[in-house]
Amino acid sequence: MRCADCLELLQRSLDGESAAGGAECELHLANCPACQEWFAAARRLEEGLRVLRAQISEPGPSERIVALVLRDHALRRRRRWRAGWAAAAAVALAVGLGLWRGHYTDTGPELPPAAPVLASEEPSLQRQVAEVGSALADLARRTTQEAVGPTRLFVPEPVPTPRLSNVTLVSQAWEPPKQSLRDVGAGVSAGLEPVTTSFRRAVDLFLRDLPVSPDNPTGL
Amino acid sequence: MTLDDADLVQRCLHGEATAIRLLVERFQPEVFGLCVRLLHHRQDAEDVTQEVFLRVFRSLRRWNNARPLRPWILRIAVNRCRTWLGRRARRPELVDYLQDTVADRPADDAAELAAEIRAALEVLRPEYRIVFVLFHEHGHSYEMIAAAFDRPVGTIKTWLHRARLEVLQRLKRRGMVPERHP
Ligand SMILES: [Zn+2]
Repeated sequence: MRCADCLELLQRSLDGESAAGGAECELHLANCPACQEWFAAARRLEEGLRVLRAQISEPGPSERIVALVLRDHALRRRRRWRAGWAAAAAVALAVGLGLWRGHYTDTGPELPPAAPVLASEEPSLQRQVAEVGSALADLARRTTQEAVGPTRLFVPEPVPTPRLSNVTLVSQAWEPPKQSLRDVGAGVSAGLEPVTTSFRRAVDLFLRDLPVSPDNPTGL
Repeated sequence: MTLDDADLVQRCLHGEATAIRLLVERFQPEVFGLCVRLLHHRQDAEDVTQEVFLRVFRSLRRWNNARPLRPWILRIAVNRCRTWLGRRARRPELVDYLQDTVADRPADDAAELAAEIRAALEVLRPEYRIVFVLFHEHGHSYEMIAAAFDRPVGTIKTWLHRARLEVLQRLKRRGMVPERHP
């Protein structure tokens, strides 16, 4: 048996395997001081390992870890919800804008032939404000009608539709808005009222559902 | 009645505080014990243990419940310890700490021997050191360690054998092996 074989046998015995070829190794050891030294060191290693294994470590930071994990869980859940709401709001806005644009371009009356405009020509500030105002007025009128419309069924007397404008969409598009922005704002909030109420309710439900950690009783 | 690992994980995923506590208590002694034995520094061991459990809970959804949970958690612990050991090896102030530890060797032979083994482990490659501690101090099988490292059993065996030879070499060099009297 060579030194390498003897050392291999030593490794296997330290692995906890039964070491076949022990007799041959014994013979080799009797005449090989180098291998004797390796075996003596291995015995010392085993002595030392018994000491190391007996060293009991103190209990770890269980409580701190649990609090940390709970806080992290709540935080990540809240972030996921926020991201979900933001995505839903973005989709709703995109759909709303799409509907509005579709209505405005497909079903609206034909525009009168406009004066030729150079491609590089910037629209005047007054015209831009006029366009935005008209668009908002239209959106507010339609949202209000859609929100209030169904409730008319339960009211004996017909509810007068607020008269936002007497002129056509086409003329609105080219003239400054007839309504003040304050009226427009009031119309928008009236129209969106059912939406905002349900959104607020959903947020309240979500906040009530959050787990409360001992470090942060508010859950925030 | 004790919950099995799959049920426990399901409950943790629903954010049940009692399940989270149970999972931490089930695996924390082993993870913390490993960190203490590898890092020899209570504060570092606590920090790494916290990191390990944060990662465990953040990636719990990705655990394949057809496989045992223990090696999966052990793998996260092993990875964090390797990263930590690698980072610490580049920190100069630690050398002083280690030299102090070796210099303050207790008079008792058994304790001195244990301290020498510790010191020998400190200079090993992180993988060798972790395998040595998992096998010799935590009593894990080669298969479990291989799963924790995501390496073949043969590789783990080679690492452990090399680690052992280096430790034995140091014990010889430091006069921890008695002279043979024929
Ligand atoms: Zn030999």
